[in-house]
Amino acid sequence: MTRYLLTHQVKRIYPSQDDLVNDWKGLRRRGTTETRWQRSLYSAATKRLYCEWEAPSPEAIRACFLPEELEMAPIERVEEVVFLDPAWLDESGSAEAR
Amino acid sequence: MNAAFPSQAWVEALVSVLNADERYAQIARYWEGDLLFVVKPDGSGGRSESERASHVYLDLWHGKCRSGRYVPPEEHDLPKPAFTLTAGFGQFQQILQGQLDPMQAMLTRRLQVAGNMAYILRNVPVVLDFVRCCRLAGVE
Repeated sequence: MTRYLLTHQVKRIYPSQDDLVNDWKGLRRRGTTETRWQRSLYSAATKRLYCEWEAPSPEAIRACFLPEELEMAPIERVEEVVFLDPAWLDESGSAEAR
Repeated sequence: MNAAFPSQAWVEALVSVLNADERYAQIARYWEGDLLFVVKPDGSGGRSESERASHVYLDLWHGKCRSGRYVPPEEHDLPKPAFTLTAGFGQFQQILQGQLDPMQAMLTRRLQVAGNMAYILRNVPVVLDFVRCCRLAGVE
């Protein structure tokens, strides 16, 4: 499955913890076996939310969102990405160092 | 500095840390909002558990703690703060010992928040640095 990184500009956040958590749970449930929200990183300084998805296409990801969610945190960018794990460097690097 | 959590000694230790910590003063310089920890005894979480909860009140204002006090379970005269954070003793302990990320605890409702969640998310660095100071105050 292709991995995508979505950048959201967070314009508005639910003031209630329950509303926020329920909304995010809903988004998670709207995913399918093929289209899954994997993890997110949030920058309070820039009000950007970076979300990793696995999906067959960007359209499949957009289809998971409610209109209100896209109004509150519009998607600025969708990029196809690959995962690079720096732990691999430790394993290969230790042999080279010797 | 290791006082039992929650207790008046722990609150006093935390207030001292908050008011002496330059990093907290800088990061929280715009923060306005007092808060109340509601520390429920671990167990069923039913009504009687809530009634036996103890409380910690902290008046946080622009990078300083203007006052703080421990409110034991038998005292019912509770302040009305901007934020109330409720969890079982074990969950608070995990957060204070660095075993549970506070933001993760909020987003999974293990730490219940009454108050403006949007304000908290806009001030994530303040929350994280406040928890760092709580850890400096020690947990016994």
